[in-house]
Amino acid sequence: MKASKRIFVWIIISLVLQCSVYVFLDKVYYAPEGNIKYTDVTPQVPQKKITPKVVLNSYAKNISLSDDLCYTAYISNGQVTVVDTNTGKATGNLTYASGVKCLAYTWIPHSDVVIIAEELNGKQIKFYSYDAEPEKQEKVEIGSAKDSVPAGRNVTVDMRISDQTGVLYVKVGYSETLDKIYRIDRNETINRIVATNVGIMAEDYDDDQLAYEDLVHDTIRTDYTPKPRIAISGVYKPGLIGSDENDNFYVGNGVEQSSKVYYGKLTDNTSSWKNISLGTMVKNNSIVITQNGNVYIVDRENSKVTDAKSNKSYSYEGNFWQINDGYIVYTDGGKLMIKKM
Amino acid sequence: MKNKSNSRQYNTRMVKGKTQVKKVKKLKLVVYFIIFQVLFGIATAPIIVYYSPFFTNLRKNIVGTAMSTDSHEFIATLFLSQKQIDEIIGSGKASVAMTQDLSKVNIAYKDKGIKFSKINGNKFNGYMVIIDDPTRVKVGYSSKLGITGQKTSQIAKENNAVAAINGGGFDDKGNNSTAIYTGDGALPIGLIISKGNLIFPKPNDLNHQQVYKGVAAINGEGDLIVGDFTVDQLLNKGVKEALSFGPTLIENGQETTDFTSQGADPRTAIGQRRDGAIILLTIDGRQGLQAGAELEDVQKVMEQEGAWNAVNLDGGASTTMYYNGKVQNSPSDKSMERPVPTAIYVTN
Repeated sequence: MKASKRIFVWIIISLVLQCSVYVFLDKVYYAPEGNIKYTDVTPQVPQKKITPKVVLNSYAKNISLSDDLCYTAYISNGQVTVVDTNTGKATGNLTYASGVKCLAYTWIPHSDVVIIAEELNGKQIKFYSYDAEPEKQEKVEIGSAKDSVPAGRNVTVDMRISDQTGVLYVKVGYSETLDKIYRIDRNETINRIVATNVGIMAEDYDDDQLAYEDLVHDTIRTDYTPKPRIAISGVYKPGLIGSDENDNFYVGNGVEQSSKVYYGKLTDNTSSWKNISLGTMVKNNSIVITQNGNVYIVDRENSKVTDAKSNKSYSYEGNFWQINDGYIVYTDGGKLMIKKM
Repeated sequence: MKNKSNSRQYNTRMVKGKTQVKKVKKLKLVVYFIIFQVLFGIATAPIIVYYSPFFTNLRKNIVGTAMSTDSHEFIATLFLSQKQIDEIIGSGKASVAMTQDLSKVNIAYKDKGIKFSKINGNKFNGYMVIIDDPTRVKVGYSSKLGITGQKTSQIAKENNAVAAINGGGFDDKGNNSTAIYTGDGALPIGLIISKGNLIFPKPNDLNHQQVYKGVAAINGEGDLIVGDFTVDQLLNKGVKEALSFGPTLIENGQETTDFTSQGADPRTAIGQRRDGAIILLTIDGRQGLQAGAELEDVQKVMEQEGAWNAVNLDGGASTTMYYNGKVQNSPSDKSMERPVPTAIYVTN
């Protein structure tokens, strides 16, 4: 076929294809709605009492519950599973394409929605939200294809989300010394934050403020321009512990373990920050900050949780997983348990 | 025999070689074809969509959606003049001056009747609450207004409400953030009147001449007042609860036409029937193949439900329907409920 004839045919094909799509969009997708049905439905009601009936296999890890304790999530065999805490039954429509490995998940505060980070064929990391509530169970992709985050060998992911601003920060660990932080805003735009070797990350619940440990310089950096570093007088190597829903960030007086926890707002001078003495040296990863600002010390050896402010202790049996809304969440012989504190 | 076999092998190799050359040529042609289709498509799509006499719905939606978001305005402004954009989305249409005739609304019910229903269309799903006694409908606002917003469900719970929808708009910027799209409902836009008191703007900051567009107000009798008003006009009408966003969708039983198309999106609206019953409506969108509803679709739903007056409220990621202690709809932002400055709630 002559080149000119071929191009002519291709132009015709293009016009036919384009017009077919435009006709569909014009006459179907964007046509005025002409078929509206109204049905009386029974509204969903909140579950009142939670009595866990969840049995977990020994491979289940990262076990955590939604804020209302109604749903339990865990990672097993590279997949996130969400079950109804009261029945132990898996919720619907949470499926994965072949070649997908779930790297991490996080619950959105005050909701039954999880955000899942999936690695696709070892090439890119995609993010999905999934609402566990009946009638809503649908997995929705976050962000567009052009904004994907690159994966890597043995990549790790940690996520923090602000309840109020909807900004999601994702730490992707590519190696022992290389991490990258990505910021996904409400418009689902993905941007990279300049950071290389990052430890713990914490985000303000109310404001768009991120703090993270810079392991190269043993300091805590923030993206709040008036205070790019959290420096506390007398603390040589601070360690970031977490944040609460009253805009407070919590900093330990050591990178690995601390005997004192300082806390306050980024907008306040650190000299006016308050502090809590822990009485002894405690590993930073055994200090838990809850949304309402309580500080707990988890003693895994003695199966005990102590409120650092009131010094009150609570015992449990088995493996500790989290403190959620005033409950200790743990597994005992594979059975999920919750205990009110 | 040997020669014959050699020549057969040679011929086979030749044929194989030719087939391979043909295959490579074909593959190249397919690649060129795809590249051509993509490039030609990108080059001609704006001309066909924007300038052909067909595809009116598509054109209106693309331009309307683009112009309603700051980040994507270029999709329209790159190819069209402001005059052409106005013609496509219908801005500049003459507004029909109308005086609201509240005598046609006769509040019939004074009981606790409330109905919750689901709406299913081809393009969207939504929820609707119909409240028989309109005096149960109030405007709620964040208890930390100016510092941070609150979720519709939080405002509802604090007011012991049985139902609530999100209300007015806000600056999409957090109180301590320089980045956009971080708005948490701290900084409201429009006006807020609650229990007969002006909440926003603060009385000292009020410009008495300023006309607020797209007002949804309820007076002491339970009439829904819609349209454009100053704060003084509303207070003189005995308004107890009010906020503003707009546009007005139905006035005196007639569909309004003087608004610009904003494309398909999640929507929230409030309306009132002639028997006084209030309709609270939310429509989900921006999820999968369901983009949401256009303003005309919301008008249609309100009209089918018998709304005599109706007004559009803040939509998009803010759209929230709270009922019976739970958020019933699926908000569009990562499925999470967005904090807002105001909500319209129903007392228990």
